[in-house]
Amino acid sequence: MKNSKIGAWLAVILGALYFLLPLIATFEFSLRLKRGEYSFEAYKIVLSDPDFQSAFTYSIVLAIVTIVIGILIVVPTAYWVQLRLPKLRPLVEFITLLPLVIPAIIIVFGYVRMYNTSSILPLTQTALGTDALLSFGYVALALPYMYRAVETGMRSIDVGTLTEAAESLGAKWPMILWKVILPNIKSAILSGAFLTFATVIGEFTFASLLNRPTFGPYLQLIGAKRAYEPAALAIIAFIITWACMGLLQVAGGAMRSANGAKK
Amino acid sequence: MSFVEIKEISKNYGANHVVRKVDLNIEKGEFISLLGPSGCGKTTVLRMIAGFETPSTGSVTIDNEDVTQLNPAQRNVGMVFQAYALFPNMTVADNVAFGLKIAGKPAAEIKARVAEMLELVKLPLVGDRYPYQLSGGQQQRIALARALAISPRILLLDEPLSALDAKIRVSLREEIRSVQRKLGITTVFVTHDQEEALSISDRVVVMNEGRIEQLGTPPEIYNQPRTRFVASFVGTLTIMSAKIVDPVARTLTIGDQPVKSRLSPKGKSGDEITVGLRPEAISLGKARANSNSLNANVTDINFLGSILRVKMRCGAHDIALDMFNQNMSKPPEVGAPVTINFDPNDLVILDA
Repeated sequence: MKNSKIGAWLAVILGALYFLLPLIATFEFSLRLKRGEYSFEAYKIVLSDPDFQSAFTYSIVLAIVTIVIGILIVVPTAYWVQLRLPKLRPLVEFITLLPLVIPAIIIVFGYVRMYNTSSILPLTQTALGTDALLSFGYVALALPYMYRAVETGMRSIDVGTLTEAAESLGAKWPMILWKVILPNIKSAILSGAFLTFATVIGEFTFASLLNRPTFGPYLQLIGAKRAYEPAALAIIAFIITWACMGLLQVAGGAMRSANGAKK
Repeated sequence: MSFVEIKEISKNYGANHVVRKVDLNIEKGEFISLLGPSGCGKTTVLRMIAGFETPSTGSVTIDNEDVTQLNPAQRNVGMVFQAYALFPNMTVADNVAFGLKIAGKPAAEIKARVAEMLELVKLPLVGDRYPYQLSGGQQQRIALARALAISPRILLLDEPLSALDAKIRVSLREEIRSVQRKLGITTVFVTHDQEEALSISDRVVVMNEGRIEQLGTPPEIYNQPRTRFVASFVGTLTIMSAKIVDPVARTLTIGDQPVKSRLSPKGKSGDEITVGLRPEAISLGKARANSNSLNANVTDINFLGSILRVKMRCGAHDIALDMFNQNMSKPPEVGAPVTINFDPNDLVILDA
């Protein structure tokens, strides 16, 4: 074997150890609830905890709402920018990247100040209002991922000509978006949706400061009180994230093979 | 009144005048080509007929209806694009059915119409396939079927053959023409390929810098180009300057050699004018009666397969001549003095 190959393998092994060791250690620790034997007791406790179930369900519902609102805002915007306002693309890209630059804590403080009980729009007054505020916040937080995914999808098809072809056949805007554009960027929307899902499931700052019972604060609460269960929760969270990434790969693969077939 | 009337349409993007006061009347069932180099405004004119662009000034009337302000979906025109633009998520049959579904036609009628259209473009068996499973030529035929399925008032073709390879281009253009004849549909075809335009059109519109340079039948455009631009864009033409000797007797001189023309030159005795000669209109040999002849020297010979192009110097002008590549006839030697003959009919007098 050549020296350069040994070096490459060494780098891969070191990298893998760096990422996998803490994970393996966490997993091993999560199995040691019962003294002297390995068991999934911690997982049993976590999964049967009604607070876990409610927090997790709550987060999933929130993620789905966030994804729907995100799609409704991002798809028409990206379509319009691509079709009619290509000069605005750099500006829109900059705006969609802002959530990555501005820390979540600043955004949420802004929200609390803007929408508190003594403001014109007191969203934080009711639980439903706060839920709405939280999901709007998540839409902003996930904007960079959703917009990028959708925009890339739209660039891979000839949006302009497809739109004109549909128009000349008598179709109007909503019909063109629904029947022609959306189906052709389905996998791009899916990858955006999975990234949004992963972001929402693991989010802590927004939910904690707005005092909503999502998965993030639940994880923090358990971590403060128990020893083995947080390790089990961390592994569960990892598995969910990985499942999302896996689905994303599948969706991306489907998109690539469809594009490849076009050529 | 013509079926399609384009009255003084112009299109400006700021200070950039893309189309300048174009007037064009198209009869029902006619096949018209807009021919010109890229950037001449031909596609913009087509897009204004389709409704994708709104004219800055002027109007478009189709079948006595002013459509200038209507959007494309309201105009009932069929359009075929250079990039095919089939919907990748739909099967061929769904693509062809798209416009009919939008129009709310009953399912049975749509099915029959789709089958009829696929039959028309000679691809009856590909209904279940997706566009990416077809070749470029097949995709463009499906695009044609899709455009025709809605029974449009006019068919607009925007360089539909440019993305295809040479052989398919020729067979598909013949097919487009035969489908157009069968349906009798008024058609506007945009191309930058003069051979395409000349071979399938009833009339050709040659455009340059946003204006119509010449409008006429293919033989008129080829044999009697009016301007230097048309002459040089369509086919090969040797352009020369000549001096009028007697406008009534239609006599001129090229260099100091006398020639006759069929048409009276505009101008008076002693005026300089521009004339042109096609390479295929010239022959070599001794001076003949009733024919123009000029003395020249051979400067070069190009072998083009079935044709030999002989280049000659005649006074201040370079003249090209085409002769068939026959084994028996010997081409002249480079440097040899020759006499060239051409009919007065073939001497083209150019306006500008």
